[in-house]
Amino acid sequence: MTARLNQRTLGLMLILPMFLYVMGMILFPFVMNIWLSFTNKRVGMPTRLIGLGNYLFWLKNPDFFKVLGNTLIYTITTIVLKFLIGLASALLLNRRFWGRNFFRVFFLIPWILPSLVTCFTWRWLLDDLVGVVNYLLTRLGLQAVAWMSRPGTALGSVIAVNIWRGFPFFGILLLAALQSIPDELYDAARVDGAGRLQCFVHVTIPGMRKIALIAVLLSTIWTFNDFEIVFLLTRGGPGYSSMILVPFVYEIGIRGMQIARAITFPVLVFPVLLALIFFTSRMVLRED
Amino acid sequence: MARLTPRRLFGWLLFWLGLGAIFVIIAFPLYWMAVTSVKPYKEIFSRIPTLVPNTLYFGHYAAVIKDGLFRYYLNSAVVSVTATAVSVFVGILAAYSLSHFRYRGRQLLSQLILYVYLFPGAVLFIPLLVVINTLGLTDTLLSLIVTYPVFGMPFATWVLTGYFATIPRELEEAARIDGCSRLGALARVILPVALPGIISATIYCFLLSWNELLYAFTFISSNAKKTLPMWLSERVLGDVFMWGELMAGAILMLVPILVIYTLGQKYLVRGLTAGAVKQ
Repeated sequence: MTARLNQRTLGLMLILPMFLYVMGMILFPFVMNIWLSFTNKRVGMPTRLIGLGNYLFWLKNPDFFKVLGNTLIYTITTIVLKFLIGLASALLLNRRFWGRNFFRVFFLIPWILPSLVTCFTWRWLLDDLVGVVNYLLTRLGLQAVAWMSRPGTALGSVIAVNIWRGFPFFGILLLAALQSIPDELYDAARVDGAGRLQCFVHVTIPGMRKIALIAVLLSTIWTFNDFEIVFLLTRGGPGYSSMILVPFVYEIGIRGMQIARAITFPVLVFPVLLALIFFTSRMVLRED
Repeated sequence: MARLTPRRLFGWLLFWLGLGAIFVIIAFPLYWMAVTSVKPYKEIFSRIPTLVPNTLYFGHYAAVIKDGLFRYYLNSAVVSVTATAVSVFVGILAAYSLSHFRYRGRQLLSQLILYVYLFPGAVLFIPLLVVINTLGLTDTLLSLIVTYPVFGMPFATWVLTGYFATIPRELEEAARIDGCSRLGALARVILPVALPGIISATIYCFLLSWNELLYAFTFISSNAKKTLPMWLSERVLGDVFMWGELMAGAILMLVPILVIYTLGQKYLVRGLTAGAVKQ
């Protein structure tokens, strides 16, 4: 590599592998996804365009609305609870206490655990017959619950596991947000006669706003497209009572081999997803 | 020491209760997984669970290892290490270009990378399957090596661009006056300073690849090519839950993650925050 090489050319050459990869492995499949949704592609069959057939199929199908509803419940419930528990944890971890450094390292473990490990562990904890949760319930004189195999509790169970995995992410980001607020702001507020609650409302909340919003948006995108927890814990069952978007697409497209039908579903929710991505990127890019 | 008032005592109690609750909620499932992996089946399936095992039994570990765990371990390691290396290497080049070069369309490219970092790779698994089939990579480990950077590469680029941008151009220019080429400056000046960012991107990419399941399920079908989480998850799909072996497998899968996390957690946390917040 000579120093005489045109600098502009070198800059473009350095970005080229990244650019080609993004084009070939992300943007091209994305466009292909949309194109295939107008065809009748199935495994081992000739493909031809069928117009809006797949869209009409889903819009007339109650399963679509069931899964969409579940996905929204799954996303909204977990985000709200992850945020609240994460915020409480961040406020606790922001205090000085003995063992704080250890606790902060330990705290993020649920988030870095492989989903498989998380799901195995929770399935075992919530086992109908010999699970320790049901054992404790019966010891307290309550009824044992078939957590994963009853329509009423299956969705709640996967939601709980998602919260367990995700709240540390909120906790760590919100803790970083808390620590980015300069002490002088609190001092100034106190000089002006603000109590603890007023400090929280007028200094802490505005100071955390940006990072909090980014954490919420990021986690919404991830949760909306979550696969493992539902797939490993309930497979969306019983029936479709705990089924959400990505595992559903997997069931229809890969196991049911209805490729075109399956990928029409994400296309139907792309507008929401793209709006979320747009808002998140605006937040990330906005200069203070 | 401040005077102990009832109000202060109440606050103190509330604080430790909250912290204790979080500790138990996180620690108990982990403990239960570990302790189940060393209990014999008679104890695992007894009606009254034991908090501390009566007998220590390592047969579950022997059983999963005998079933060929290490073969899948190796598959996962090959895929994760290669995919991570590719992601971080390409990310470094792209981040260097975006942060220290001037050309038309640079802003646009930088935004594109943020968009694809935010774009969930999970919705792309079916069109990617078509791509993989077209490339003739069906049912190979290479199919995973090629696709896993979908998650990691945009993140690596995004975080590293942030890190590289904090390195003043003067530092790089000084190196070039001393006779370094631009790539020499990257290797000798930029990379050492941005090491924390590189560590954090590496850890993140490795975690994602090591844990990934959806692409593995979609692209891999033959037994010999399964990744570790895929192989382990299929041990559960039957009717009988061999909890001892499942927990032993989970622990073994966890070991590299915990080692890497413990070594690099400081950088990971900083990178996560940097990924979310422009610095």
